Amino acid sequence: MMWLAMAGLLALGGAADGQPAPGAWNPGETEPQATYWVYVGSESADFLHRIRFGPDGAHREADISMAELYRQSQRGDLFTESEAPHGVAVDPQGGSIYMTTGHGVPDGKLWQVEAGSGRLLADPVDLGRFPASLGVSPDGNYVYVANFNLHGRMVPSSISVIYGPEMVEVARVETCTMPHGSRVHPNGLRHYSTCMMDDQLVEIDAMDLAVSRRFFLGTGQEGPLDPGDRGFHAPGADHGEDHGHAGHPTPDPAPGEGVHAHHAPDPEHRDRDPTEMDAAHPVPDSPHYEASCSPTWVQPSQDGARLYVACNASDRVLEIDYEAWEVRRTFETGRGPYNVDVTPDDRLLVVTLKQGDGVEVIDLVEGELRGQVETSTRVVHGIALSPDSRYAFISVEGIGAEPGKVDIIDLETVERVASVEVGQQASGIAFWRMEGGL
Amino acid sequence: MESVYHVMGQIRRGLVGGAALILAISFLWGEAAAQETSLADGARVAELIAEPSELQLRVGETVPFQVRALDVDGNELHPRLLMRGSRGGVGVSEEGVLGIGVGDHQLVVTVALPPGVEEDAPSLTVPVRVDWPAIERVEIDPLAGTLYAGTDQRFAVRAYHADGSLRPSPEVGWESSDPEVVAVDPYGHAVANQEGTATLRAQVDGVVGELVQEVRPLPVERIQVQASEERVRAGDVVRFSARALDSGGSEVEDAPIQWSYMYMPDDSIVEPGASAVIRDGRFVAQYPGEYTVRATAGPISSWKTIRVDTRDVVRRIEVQGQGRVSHRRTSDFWVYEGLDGRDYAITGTWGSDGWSYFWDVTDPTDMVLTDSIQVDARTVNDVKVSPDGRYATLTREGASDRRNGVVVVDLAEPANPVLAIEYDEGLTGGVHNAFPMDDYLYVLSGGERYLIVDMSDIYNPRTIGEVDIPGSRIHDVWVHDGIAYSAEWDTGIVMTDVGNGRWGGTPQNPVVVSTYPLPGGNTHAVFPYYQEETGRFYIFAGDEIIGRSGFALEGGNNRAPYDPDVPGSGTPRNTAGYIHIVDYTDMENPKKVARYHVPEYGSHNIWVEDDVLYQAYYEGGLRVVDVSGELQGNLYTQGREIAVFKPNDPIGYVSNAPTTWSAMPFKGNIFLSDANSGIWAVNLEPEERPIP
Repeated sequence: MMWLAMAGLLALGGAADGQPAPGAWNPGETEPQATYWVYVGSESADFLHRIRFGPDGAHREADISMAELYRQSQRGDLFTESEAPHGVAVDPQGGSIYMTTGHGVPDGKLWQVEAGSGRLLADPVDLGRFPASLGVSPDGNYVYVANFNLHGRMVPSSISVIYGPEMVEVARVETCTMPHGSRVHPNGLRHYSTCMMDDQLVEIDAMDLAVSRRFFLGTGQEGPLDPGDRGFHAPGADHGEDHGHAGHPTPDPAPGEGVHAHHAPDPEHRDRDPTEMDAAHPVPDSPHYEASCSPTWVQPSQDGARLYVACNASDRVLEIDYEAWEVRRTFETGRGPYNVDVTPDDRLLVVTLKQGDGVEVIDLVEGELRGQVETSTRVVHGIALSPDSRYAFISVEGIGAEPGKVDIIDLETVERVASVEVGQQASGIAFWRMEGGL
Repeated sequence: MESVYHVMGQIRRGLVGGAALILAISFLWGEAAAQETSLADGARVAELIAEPSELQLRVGETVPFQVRALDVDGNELHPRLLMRGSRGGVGVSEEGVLGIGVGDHQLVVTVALPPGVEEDAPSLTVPVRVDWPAIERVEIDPLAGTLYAGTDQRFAVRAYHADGSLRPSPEVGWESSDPEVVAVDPYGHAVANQEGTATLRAQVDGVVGELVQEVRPLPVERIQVQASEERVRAGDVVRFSARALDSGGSEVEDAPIQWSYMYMPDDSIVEPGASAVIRDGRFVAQYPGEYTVRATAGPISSWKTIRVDTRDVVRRIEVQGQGRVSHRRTSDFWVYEGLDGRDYAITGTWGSDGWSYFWDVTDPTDMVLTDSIQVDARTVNDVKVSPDGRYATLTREGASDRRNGVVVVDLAEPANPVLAIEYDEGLTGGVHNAFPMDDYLYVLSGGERYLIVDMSDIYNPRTIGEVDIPGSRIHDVWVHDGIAYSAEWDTGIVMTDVGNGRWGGTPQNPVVVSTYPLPGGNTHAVFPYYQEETGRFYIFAGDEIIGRSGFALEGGNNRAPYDPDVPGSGTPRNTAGYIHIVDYTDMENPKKVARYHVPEYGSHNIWVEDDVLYQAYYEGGLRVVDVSGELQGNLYTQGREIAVFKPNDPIGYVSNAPTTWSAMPFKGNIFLSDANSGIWAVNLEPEERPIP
């Protein structure tokens, strides 16, 4: 809670460098005609915040601590160390906020909080390793969570499927290695995620809860895959050409392979007597696939006809035709596209540049860059768009002890119009509601 | 004709942990069912009816189940329905609903709405109770010895399922065929009333197991009781032994001896009652007075009285100095003698920009900050120095690029430490703790496992082994005499041979020897300690529980300095947990024998040296505890506390809010780190206090 020491800094007024101070307006900008609310997590401070943006500026309106959520839970779990709120989503009816926490014993969880009051609505659900991105079905019934397994062994992970009204996990669908991004098609029939270490886009049939299609995103080799292809790191997979030890430049959302056990045991084996296990693992360097796209996000267009995939390693966003299952357009971006989102009018594509410390806005109709804006601090994370297609709310992690930020971008002028401090390492962000305007 | 849905969907199986899971299933048409209703044509489901409305079944059992869909007029519809069960609890097969895991679960039924249909459709949640499988057989464990008339013993029961698995904690109904011979209570506690034979019966879920039990006359005429000591202090363990002798003076070796005690306080107003612990003849008293310990075998008993005095170990603490850190939260620390012969300490920080501080503490009354290192991290949780003082490790969490790892610091010039390498291979997930030895570094990876790293060249470390307990999560590791003891939450204490050799382990090929779970499942830290006086080997294993939900004193969880606009800021945090003491003298058969439990605070890092426990107890401060002699019971209530120091600092990060993280004795002083006030040095005044 280091940021609380800086709570007094949330004052309106211009800053010395001409950029708006936290919560303040840039005097040259038009005031918003409506009031907007978003929720954002702070991963290193263990908070969920509500931000309000309107004619009176931008403010941090509410703070919900993980400690308080544990206190309300009936399960008897005890809040131990950093829980790491990561993904945030709002159900389509706007009544519930879903949030993943990446850490935990044994693993992370999905939480359900009442929008507005911040009251815990149900006991959390245990998920897989480092659950991160999440998406909610259009009918609000199902929450799909990518078990990112950010720091675990390079083995296929999964998408957890949770029935939201009862907060019960009904399925865990194995996809490939390091799934990230989680979005449901507007028709409710398909779910999408990517696999960072296998260069895959994965489609799950929401009726059968099974993988229905896969798409390979490797640079120059884009195309459909067999639905059963769990990627290069699946046991028994043909590793193909030895690309050597992965080395990613820093900062980087995807840690490199590193040295790891040659024979990785099934991480879910909990019923085996550990003393029977040979816990010795010689750790030679092993050949493995070096992702050329390293996809970090997938976002369907509002009409469902296209899917946009952020290739963090190759600085591109791919537009994939939903029906034809092929690449239609490629957008070159700044350094490190991370999250993408499409405005409700399907006109603009908003891209966060994690390594590029900024946000790009691409006009999808014209097929060209509308503008780019620097964020107020470094390590850009997520996007939430207002229903009127006017504003983008961008979470920015920050570095070290500095607070996280929510930057508000005017999509017409592509300028940062406000910024709000939150807890350290602002992470997932989701739009809740607006009043006025439309 | 009423249409009925039959489940004819396809079962999809996924493998998780080796267990088959039933994923989704969608209802299709049965042979006699009507055509699927297209909701795109305007038909609307108004109600779903489950038949039955709730289910109760056993693991492995399948029960029939159906769902009817009705429109607003009550007409039967046949839309596509999705039925899903709690993962790992309930599944669906062609025959109906399948019980997979014991517990209270749910079946969820929703209507598959076609694209473009935006109206809400009803859904259904069906409660499902899945019970254990049926019991196939019940066995009563026979006694190891003879059941003698006039004595009583407890019988144990094992209830087996058909697959050979045991029912945990079964509910047993007991009865005896002849209570005049053997009577048995609902807990399996049987009293042998007279010679003869009776059949004991234990019933679990309607299945009965029997044991024919003979009762023989008790040959014991007298009991000899001896005590290892006749005058002790509170907290000392006294070993009582009892020999049951027959009329000829021969020992009846299988005579069941039961122990009890009576207490006579020195002052009945001060201590009207007292508790002591007696277990297998090992007795420990908490308060001074006279204790009469009785050994009984049926109607025969004998006793011995011992005298228990106060322990009288309290000593005063004197503050030597403080290295105040009030602008950041302090985490762990380590104090060591540098290669230049001076004394140094390193402190880490929590949520504070990755800073570590280096102090010259040669004069503990004047600790001087000599250097600092900042790394890309939000928290440097753990700092340690190799025994030879050659290098230090600073652990990283919250790196901006999410590549955490451990920082190795070259201490060749202790006053001017140099960053040797930031090592993150296999350690990107945050390193919470590390344990440096001269040649090897044991370092935690992402809370899942620990790596063993060759540190012969600290500028080029090389991972050579790892220990990963499947499904377990690790918090700390400590290596002693070639054995790594790791603290792994609900797995408990994990013991691994990493070079001791007794079990064939080496750093390159570690061998896991045992796991020992502890109550509560909060095993956070371990400290192995060999007690020279008794030859016993103990593991002190501590909980960490942030928060006190469920306790009468719940308190808050604040970590922030005071801010008038922020409710609750500037107040102390409240924690819980205690130290479990496990006797590992027989390393393959460890046994928990004692605890150190301060009830209103929470335990953190541990250090034991020269029969003294230096316990960091968060808001309870530094606790210095006499752990000499054999240990049993709760040391807190035995008068074993030597001193308590709470590092109150009015200008600390949070003022006057002790949060003691770690403590170490060093060259006659006790050093400690406190999250809100930095590093302190204190010492204990001499035992003999001057009489003014």
